[in-house]
Amino acid sequence: MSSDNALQLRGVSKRCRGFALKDVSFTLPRGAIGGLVDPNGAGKTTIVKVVMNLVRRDAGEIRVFGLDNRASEIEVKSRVGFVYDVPGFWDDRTLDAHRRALGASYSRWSDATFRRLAGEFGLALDAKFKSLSHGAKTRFALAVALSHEADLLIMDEPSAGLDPVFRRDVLKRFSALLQDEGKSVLFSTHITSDLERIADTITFVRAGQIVFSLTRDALLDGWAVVRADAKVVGDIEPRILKRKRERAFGVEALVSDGDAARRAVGSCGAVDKVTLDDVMVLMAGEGRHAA
Amino acid sequence: MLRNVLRKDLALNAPQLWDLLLWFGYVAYVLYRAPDSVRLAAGGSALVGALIACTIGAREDKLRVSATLASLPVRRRAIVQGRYAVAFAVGAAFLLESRGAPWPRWAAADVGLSFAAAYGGFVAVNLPCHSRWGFGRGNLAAALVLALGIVLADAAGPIVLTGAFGPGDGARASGLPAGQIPAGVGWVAGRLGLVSASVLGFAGNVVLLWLSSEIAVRAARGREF
Repeated sequence: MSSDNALQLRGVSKRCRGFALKDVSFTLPRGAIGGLVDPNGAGKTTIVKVVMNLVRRDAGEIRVFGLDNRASEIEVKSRVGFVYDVPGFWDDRTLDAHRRALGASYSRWSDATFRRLAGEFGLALDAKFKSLSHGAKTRFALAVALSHEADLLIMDEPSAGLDPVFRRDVLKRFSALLQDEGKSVLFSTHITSDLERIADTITFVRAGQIVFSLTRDALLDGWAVVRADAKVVGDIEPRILKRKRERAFGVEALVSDGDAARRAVGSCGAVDKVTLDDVMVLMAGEGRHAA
Repeated sequence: MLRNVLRKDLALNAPQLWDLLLWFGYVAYVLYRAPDSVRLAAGGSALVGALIACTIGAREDKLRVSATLASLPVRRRAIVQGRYAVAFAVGAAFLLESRGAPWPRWAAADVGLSFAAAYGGFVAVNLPCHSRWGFGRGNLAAALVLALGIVLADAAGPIVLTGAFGPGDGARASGLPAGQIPAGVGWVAGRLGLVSASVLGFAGNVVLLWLSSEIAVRAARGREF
């Protein structure tokens, strides 16, 4: 496996109670921001946890900067900044006590960076963790994750608890990290506007399986939504037909090749550029999985 | 790495450690009022030492920080060893504190060794149970194992009480009540001599705790968050 990738999963499987990851494979190139989307399942969180070895994989291979995430666990975790969807810290201790304790665990921890970020994020170091709002807790978790010069940031729904202004600020910060320092980011989200704003690659998970893992441009420029009657949609090549559902006017279908769909449909239907909302709705909905 | 874990405990789990002051205050009072109750205080300290280490884990589970800990570049082995270190720090603190008690009695084979056996036993049973099952179910499992141990010791009582070295002689000499562990230790000391029994007891404790820590590390590694 190449270490040109910040993260590479190959054939990863994990069986949990009532849920399973099946043969998950995708890559995140160095210096890229990857969005992980699973509209209605536990897949993305499980993937994130498997990468961090918080959940042990049953099969497959995971490499972070070319290193096996289990054999080189300490080195991998030294290079990864991790933010949970619900950050867990010591409720009755101050942020400064956290700084002292957590900073000692990282060889590249920077107190100066932490203090600067705490200031920028409006966090008082003498405040106890339990006194913070949910958004402030996430900001604190981000400050910790960004203070040890991590090369890869992995975040599970980092923007879920944030107000829109700070969310936009966090996304800008992700972009700046990439441009200025060549770092990589993998974040799971269900907020499509976040993905459209910054994600270079989008990996879509459904029922524990990867549906697709593409660059944002390949997805938004190549895929399309077809709206036509059932017979016309039936003429579309099955290989490119990803999903379809019945609507009042006929059928709405998601296709992976807009140009091929336009040729097949002709003037008998509409073929529109896809949006991430379209993908989310069609992939997550109850429509028939065509592919 | 272990140093960082202990540093973390001092910085972030201080409330748990402050609770120890209450216990040591109580021990100081007991030893002052009734010096002969040193063995009871020793047994209590063994239990408190094991439990305080377990409550640190319980507190981290309750606050959902166990998962945060597991995402740090810290080996799970170091986290488990940190728990054992806390337990032994409590034991060492007790030994220091009990210097004011009738200290020469510790030289008695059954008193000194029974403290080591009781301490090692509590820690060796409690910590793997908590690593594997968490605080609630871990406590239950540890209590069951310890209860089984007591039943087995009772069953073995008639055998160990027939030793040439009188059962609990050291305890009796120091005015302390004899029990199964002192009786067993006394029997071994009577057969092998005090030095050999001490070496054997120490080695047995080391092996027991090593096995215990390996089981605890294995349990911690198998844990998912």
